[in-house]
Amino acid sequence: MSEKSGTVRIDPISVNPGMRISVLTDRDIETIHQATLTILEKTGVRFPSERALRAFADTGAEVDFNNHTVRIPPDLLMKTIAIAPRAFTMASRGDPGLDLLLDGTKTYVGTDGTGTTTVDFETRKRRASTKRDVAMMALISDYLPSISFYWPMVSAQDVPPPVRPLHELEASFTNTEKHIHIISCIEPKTARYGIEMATLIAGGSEPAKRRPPLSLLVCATSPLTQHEGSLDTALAFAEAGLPVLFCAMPIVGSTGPASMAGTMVMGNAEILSGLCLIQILYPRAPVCYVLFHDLLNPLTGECWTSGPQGSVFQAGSVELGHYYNLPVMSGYGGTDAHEPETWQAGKDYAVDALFSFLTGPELMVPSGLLETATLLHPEKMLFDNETLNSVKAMTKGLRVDSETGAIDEIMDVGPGGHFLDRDFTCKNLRELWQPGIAHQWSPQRGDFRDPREAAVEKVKWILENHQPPPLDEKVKIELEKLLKTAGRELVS
Amino acid sequence: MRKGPVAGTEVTTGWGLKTLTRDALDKIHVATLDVLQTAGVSVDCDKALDILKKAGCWVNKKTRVVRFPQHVVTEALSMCPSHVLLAARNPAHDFMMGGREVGFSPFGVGVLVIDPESGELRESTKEDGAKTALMSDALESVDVGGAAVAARDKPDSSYDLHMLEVSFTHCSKHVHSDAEDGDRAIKMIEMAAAIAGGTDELKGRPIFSLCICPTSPLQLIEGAAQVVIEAARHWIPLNVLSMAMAGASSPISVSGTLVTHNAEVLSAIILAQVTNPGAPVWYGCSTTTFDMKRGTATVGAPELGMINAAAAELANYYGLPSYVAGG
Repeated sequence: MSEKSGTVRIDPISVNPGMRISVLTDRDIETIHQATLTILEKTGVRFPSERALRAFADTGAEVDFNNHTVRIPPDLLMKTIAIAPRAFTMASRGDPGLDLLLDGTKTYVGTDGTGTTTVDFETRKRRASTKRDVAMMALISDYLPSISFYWPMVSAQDVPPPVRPLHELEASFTNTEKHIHIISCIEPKTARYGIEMATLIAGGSEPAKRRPPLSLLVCATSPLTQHEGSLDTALAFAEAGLPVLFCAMPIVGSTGPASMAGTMVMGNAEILSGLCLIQILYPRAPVCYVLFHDLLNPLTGECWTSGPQGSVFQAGSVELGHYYNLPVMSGYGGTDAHEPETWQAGKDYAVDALFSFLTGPELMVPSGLLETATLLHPEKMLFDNETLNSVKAMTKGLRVDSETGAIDEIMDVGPGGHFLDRDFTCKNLRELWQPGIAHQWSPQRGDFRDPREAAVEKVKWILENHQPPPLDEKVKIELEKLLKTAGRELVS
Repeated sequence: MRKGPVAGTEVTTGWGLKTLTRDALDKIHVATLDVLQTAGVSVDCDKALDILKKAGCWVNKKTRVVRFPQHVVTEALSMCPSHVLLAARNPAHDFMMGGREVGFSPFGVGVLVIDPESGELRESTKEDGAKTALMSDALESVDVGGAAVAARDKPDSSYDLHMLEVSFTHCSKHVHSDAEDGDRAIKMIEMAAAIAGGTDELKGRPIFSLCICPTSPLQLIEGAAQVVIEAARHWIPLNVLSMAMAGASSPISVSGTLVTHNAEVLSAIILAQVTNPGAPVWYGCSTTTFDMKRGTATVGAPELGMINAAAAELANYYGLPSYVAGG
């Protein structure tokens, strides 16, 4: 196994600057930007929230209280967006070595969320996902250095809906020390408890602001509409100093126009209007730019997360977010394949992987799910981990200097012969990428092992042997109490 | 003429990747000149040794090692064409190599097939070769075709001729072929001339190209050297494709491997140019790392992509068309 658990616990990917790629020219970006400003000024965005409408009206935006629509003048938008921080920290619940500094120099990889079906690790049968699955995947993510933060990968469907996000948080915080990122908090009442949990874990509201162990992903409802609950939740998180990742996810051809650039313009307008509101009410609150998309499969009406145009769209979204001087979360590898070890799943994930990292987002959520981010195969994480290790090796680029150029070495060996018995070979061998699950030899069978079998075995090993640093006993008790109180208040 | 996707140019469509800076390329080039001039390359072919000696190389007849003074390398590189036309039996499939346009071709040569009917794993036959050639003709994404598996039901002394036959009969695109030695290359050229209507007709419109592999580290075996000479003489495009394994047949470091790889490819390219100035050649690469535990070439390792991307960059540096492995 290539993972070095115990030494490096998070291993973000830094792309050799010369290898960065760009899919939009400055002029392309300018065109998208100008179109966005026009949409925001002329058409506007629907904000179904009294508080939001008032805040916009007070700062000079044109607000229609009957239609709940806000039209934002370009100067107000740009002035407000400009005060959002370019760099901030998303912290772990313990070791500061696990903190993520979103400063544009590296990409932190997280798990993907939020699925609803799990292929049970023991019975191999499909079933509704549970809180135990959330805990299990948190533990695996805690172990794998390629994963820097954890987004509960499936929904805890064995607890009542109003408290579901809170149980997902408890299972996550208990089983990994890494930063937790959540999307399922979309009711302000639930969110208040979530924030309280983060405060408890950080040891107070000031420490939670300095080193926030929890962040939120909220999503606009395309086209050009914000969701009331999400908006209130986002504001509550911003007030507590917890990072808000503001997302738009139009479906090209149904909730978005049927062109990639048009969808980019509309999604951009949705994100910027949301971020504008947050910065009006909570200046300098840490926020992140997230522009996802889906494609409409015209044959079935389903969403389609994979596809070559999709990778280019995601790459463009990174450049667009960086244009506004904001950290960006991007994604790739959404596949509608059913099984991890298939050509389709491999192609969808691997082809996009290198491409997506070369665009340099701060955060990336590619790992672990199938069937358009709804199905969890626990061992899929090990497949993705392997791909990430390859990307890591490639994005370092080549080191060319007098040592690695190895002239003396080549002169010594000369034409013919071999390099197998050289000291230089022994010394540098470990620097080469070592294959993990894909290349395991089985002496008993005299053949390579099935990578799936190796992945399943590794998952078992992690579940039996890996222990994240435990939560403080007092915090644990407080969390349980909080869950009980929330249950009484929220579940009728 | 076929059109490939455009990569690496600064336009609004397509994107490019820089694996090596100009400085790094210079370093690798200078190290290569040093290796070619000081360590040299072993060339096990009398005819080639004579040609190289006449061209100003320092030849040791006893050890068969040829050392290349810098001016010979530079002159030879300046004579290479930057664009090579890969003509096809059907001119609609002509492919121009060079610049930033990328084409795709099946890799060869496989020796086993899973029988599409029975699902059984067995040695490949001439008929399998014909089927793969037919597929390469049919698939729109393939620009250069031919048989992808060896005709193992034919004698060792003629299997490659049989493969070329089915490549020509089953594929109307440009055909890429290996040849074992000079005699075999000449026979292949005769086959192609028969189709084109004569050896003169083949010049400028070569409907097939030849491939040789230097033997790493730093050797050209007799058969390979003969093919280089015959291809150059007859204006048949030649792919010089080194297949080093870092840690075994080249230094363990990726950049050290690029140096020996480069020296090997350039030595055969120089031989082609001094045989016939302006002979069409490509810069080939299928170099990867060596799995020390298993003793195999790991073609799925990230280093394969890194090395081959860097090799394409080196080819651009020399203004040569390139042919690299994609996985």
